[in-house]
Amino acid sequence: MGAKSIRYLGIVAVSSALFASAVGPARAETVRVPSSSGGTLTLYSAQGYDSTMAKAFQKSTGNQVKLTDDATGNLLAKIAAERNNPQWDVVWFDGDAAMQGLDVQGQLLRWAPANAKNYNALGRSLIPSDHGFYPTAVTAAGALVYNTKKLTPAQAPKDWNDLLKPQFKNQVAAIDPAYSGPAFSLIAGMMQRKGGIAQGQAFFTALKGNGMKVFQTSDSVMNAVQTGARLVGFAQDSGYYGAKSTGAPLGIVYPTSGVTLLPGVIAINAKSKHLAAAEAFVNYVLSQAGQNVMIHDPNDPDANVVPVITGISALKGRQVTGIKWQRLDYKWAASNENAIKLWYHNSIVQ
Amino acid sequence: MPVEVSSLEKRFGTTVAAANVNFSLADGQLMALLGPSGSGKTTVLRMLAGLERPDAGTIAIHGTVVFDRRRDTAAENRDIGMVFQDYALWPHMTVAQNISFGLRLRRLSRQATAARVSEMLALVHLDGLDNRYPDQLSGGQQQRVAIARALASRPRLLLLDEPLSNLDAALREEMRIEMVRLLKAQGITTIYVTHDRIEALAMSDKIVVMRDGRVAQVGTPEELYARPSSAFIAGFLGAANFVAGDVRVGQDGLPAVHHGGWCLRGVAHLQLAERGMVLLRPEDGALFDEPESGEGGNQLAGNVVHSEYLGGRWRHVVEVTAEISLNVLTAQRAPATRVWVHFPIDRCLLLPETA
Amino acid sequence: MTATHLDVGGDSVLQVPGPALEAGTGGTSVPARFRRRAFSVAFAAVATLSLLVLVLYPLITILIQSVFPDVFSVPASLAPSLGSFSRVFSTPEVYGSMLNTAWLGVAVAVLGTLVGAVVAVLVRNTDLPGRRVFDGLVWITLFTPSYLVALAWELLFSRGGFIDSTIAPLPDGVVNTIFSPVGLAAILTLRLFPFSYLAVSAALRGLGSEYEDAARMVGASPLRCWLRINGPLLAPALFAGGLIIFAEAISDYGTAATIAQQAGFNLVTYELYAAMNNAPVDFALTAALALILIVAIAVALMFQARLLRARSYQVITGRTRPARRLPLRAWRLPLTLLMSLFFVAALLLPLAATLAMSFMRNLGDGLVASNFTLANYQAALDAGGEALPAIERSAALAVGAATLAALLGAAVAFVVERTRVPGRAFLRLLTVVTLAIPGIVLAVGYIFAWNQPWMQNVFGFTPYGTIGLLLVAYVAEALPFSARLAGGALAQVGDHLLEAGRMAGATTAQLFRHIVLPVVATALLSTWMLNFTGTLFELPASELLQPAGEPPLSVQIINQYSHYRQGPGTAMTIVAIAIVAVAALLIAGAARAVRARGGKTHARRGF
Repeated sequence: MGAKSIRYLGIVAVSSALFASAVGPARAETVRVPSSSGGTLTLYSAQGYDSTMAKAFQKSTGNQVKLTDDATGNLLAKIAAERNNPQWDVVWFDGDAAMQGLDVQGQLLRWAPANAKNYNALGRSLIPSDHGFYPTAVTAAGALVYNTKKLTPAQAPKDWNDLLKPQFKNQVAAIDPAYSGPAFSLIAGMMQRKGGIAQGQAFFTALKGNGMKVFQTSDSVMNAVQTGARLVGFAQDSGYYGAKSTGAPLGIVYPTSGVTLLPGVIAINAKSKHLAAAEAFVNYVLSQAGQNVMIHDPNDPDANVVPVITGISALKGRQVTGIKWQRLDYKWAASNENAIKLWYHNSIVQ
Repeated sequence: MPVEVSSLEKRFGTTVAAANVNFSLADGQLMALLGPSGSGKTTVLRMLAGLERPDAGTIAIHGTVVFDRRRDTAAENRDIGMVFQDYALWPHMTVAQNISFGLRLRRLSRQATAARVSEMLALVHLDGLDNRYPDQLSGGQQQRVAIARALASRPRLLLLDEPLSNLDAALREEMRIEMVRLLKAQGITTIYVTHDRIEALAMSDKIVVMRDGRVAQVGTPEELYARPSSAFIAGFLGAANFVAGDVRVGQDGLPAVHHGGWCLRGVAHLQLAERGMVLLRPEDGALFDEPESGEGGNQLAGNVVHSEYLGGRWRHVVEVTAEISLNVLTAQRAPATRVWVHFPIDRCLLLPETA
Repeated sequence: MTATHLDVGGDSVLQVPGPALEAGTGGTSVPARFRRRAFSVAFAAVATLSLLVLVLYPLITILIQSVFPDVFSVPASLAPSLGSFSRVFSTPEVYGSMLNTAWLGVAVAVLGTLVGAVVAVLVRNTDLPGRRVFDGLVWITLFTPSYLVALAWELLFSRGGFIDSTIAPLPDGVVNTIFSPVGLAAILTLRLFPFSYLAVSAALRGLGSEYEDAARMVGASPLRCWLRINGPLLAPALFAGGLIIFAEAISDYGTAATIAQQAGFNLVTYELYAAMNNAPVDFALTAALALILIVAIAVALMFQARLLRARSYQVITGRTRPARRLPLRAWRLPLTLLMSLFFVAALLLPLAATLAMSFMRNLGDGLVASNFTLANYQAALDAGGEALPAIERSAALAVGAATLAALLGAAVAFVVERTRVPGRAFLRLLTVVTLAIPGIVLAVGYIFAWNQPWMQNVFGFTPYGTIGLLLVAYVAEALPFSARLAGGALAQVGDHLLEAGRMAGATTAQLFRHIVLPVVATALLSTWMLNFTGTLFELPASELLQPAGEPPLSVQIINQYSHYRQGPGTAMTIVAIAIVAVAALLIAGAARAVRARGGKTHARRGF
């Protein structure tokens, strides 16, 4: 390799880097339409439909959106690391307990969006008293999915306690809050349902004693169930509907004693430098136009939500009635989050 | 003086590699650093090159101090050419590229570089090999490329580290002659390291003999051979017989070494104590089958225990006593088994006794 | 023809004869001398500084939180606390994970070194048929990203996975063995042995036959020669490779999070991840665990240094003759079969699983015709136009990062191995120690390091969130490897080659460029390829440092998986692998060209 080659490589390296930086922003640009609310919005979101929503928002208002789509856990880690110099404007994920955690730290803007008037009864009931964040849609944090090839609907479990029965020994798949956003809501919800942390721990311990195994996310649980590795598992119900639509041999049960309601929640950074754009975005999400965009994203199983906005109907085939919703006391859950997660990790996952 | 070295010292941990090394070299001279392995000669060479940093001393080249307490010119700035024992040709470069490397670094024009390379190749008789790679050359060719490379940028000083040691005997002799001729023709001041006394004697204008990190003696080859300052040097510079004994001053006032019944005289240029040694060079000896009369020589009697023919000469081993055996080089066979070995007094040297 | 008046470092003047001669001045030109020395110093300084700024500074920002947990909190506080360490040692699961990780690291390092060395010898120094193919396969093994391999193994061997549901039910024993510490060690060995292969291969290139010949003259059989003479001569390469494998094994996250979890075998990297992904985030615990990982590597490094102290293993002196090929005779067929089987397990199986999945709609329906589709590739290459820009973006970043890291790594290695710059021992420690840092820790460090509020005032912008910083992070992640690999290659270059360069007047930078780089050129090309692939599939920095709106390819792939789009996910993976394959062919061609131009270090050796 002579001197010339090295020089050439250097040029390639530098120009690649320049090219990369040029390529990036160019792609993120869309048609500019002058509008009253200016500025580029930085959105951290874990939702499957965030990209579709961002594009629709850009088209509708002309505001640009820079989207970082990542798993809830990673987003929370980023937000925590950015603490002293936050770069995000809007954050959007499933699980009000985690959002409550951010609220307690004072990171969230307290405000009232104009489109809050669109909420239905379910939606209104989910708005926190300090107005730090807002629900965008609802799913069940943990319903039970089962393998339809191996179990008939009659054989499927009806309620949580059925999982302790001998026919489900070594056949239950649970999820891991270290990987799965809904997992924590499910666990905290279960504890709440059973009457407290201690009772909840006893239940999970009993489940573990019956051979329950922890998988990473709803999707890995569904994978295990549909392949027959496990007969039943906990899963977020929106994921179930998505899998079912591709023909997976799965069935769903909403246990009779109740499922934990998992709201998608959205919030604005109290220190945001693009408040106007951020507020416009949230209002868009809560508008009928925005909600339709969300629900009708055909590629996305996350779209199988229960709407919280009036006038919007869920996708066909998505069960919205006959579900006993349990409201998670998220303040209680948030304040005990660390302890619950630690216990679960050390005692159930290991 | 083009090269002046004084009080050089170098330690590696607790080992003294060089201590109190002084010498100087005139322009255009060829100097040998001669000594057994571990004597520090390579260390001194490397300190001159700038590849080792002395612990003390000064080095000046052509009037410029390149090393002293305040200054240490980097090796790449000393403008010294060096030939390594293993030649160290860069394997990824052709012969021409090897030779021209230093010139290219100095941004010499392409034509000038090419001209110089051709000149160098002609000088070392390697014309036409400029596009070969080192691994395609023989040992002798590689060595010549190494020399050409070192000389290409007309350095003020040329250093060679055992340049001939990797060649076979015949080639060594041939290269020796060629190298001296070349270096003398270029007029380049040269220092080279060797453990081979024949090379040192044959090639150099000046020899610095080193032992255990110290300079044992400095002088021209003839001086060192004729008047070594110790038995070690004497033995190192050539085959030597030593007979040790008590020193007594004879009636003529001249010292002699007495061993057994033998009285051995010789030239003494150093102070002698009570014990001394007489140096008897094998080539000065002659064998007789009866004692020689006359005062002109030292005589010892013994039995010839071994004779070998060296082609034109004979080497005999004469056992004088159980401890003393003499090597003698003569033109003829031994005249008898019992012989008298005769050495002219003015060719013998009296030295202080050493172990 | 004009005379050329040359300035030789200011210390003398070289005259070239020509019709017009200028008299030399013979004096020293002070500015010129300073200039040349300044270049040397600057070169060493750049290499050192880059390592400090790229790696040490972000590392410190995360590590100090182990002792000062609130230094970046709002409000910031310098109150020290050893709480994180007490949490580490008081939680049985956490210190249990440390023991597990230590065991795993050692086991994989030993196994991987042996396997890599044996494969390298078989491929390079025997007459094994199909050598060239096997060499290529090792490279491919090296490039396959860890998490993809882990996912593929899970896909294949888990209860209800590929084999179990579509071919035949797997016996319990098989499943339990694979998803066990032993299985994990075996899988990691299969994944990591190429590092040892690389190091030993490079060393074998420089081994001449004289040493073996000398041994054979005293009556040793060829095999014994090999073992007793070349074995010890290969020691630096074995240790270099083994150390990298150890570092990689203990900082591996991909297999730790998947197979290890299924095996119930908890590892430090998982604990580290869990600490960052549980809200409220516990960076202090992350930092404490990272610090412990660093210490483990540092200890290993000191061990290695002591073993290799004061021995010269410089075997490329420019005069070596090529080593002999060991004839295998009766062992030919069995060894060929063994090697083939080996690569089937290490490589073909995971790749086949991934490839198959990319054509399937979903796993549960098995390998039936109706389940096969091209839709995944269509989705992957379209996906609303998001995948293609990500591919271009990542490819450009990978090229840039690979080039910068290869050159910078060689420079760092050169400063460490071949100069006398003070503090290089610390630099060497740093390059190896950073191997132990899981990518995710360095990435988090980058957020802290480059998101400081004061940077807006000082630089005019905050580096965090820009694509430039992502490139820098990629380089930082690739740099330790590059430096180590280059160091291994450099260690084999004779001192005299460099000294001869100095005597010819070369500064450190010139030595590096004209002598060092070309001689280690083929090693550098390999390093480049490794960096390219690693960067293309890099995950943690991509996730945490991605500029908003400009996601890299690996993040897109993972998002596909996490949104239950395994089909498109595997399809995108295959596309990325295709890119890597093209790059590999180009690099192999370049390597051949370099060797033809004399980059080889001894006589024609047909591959």
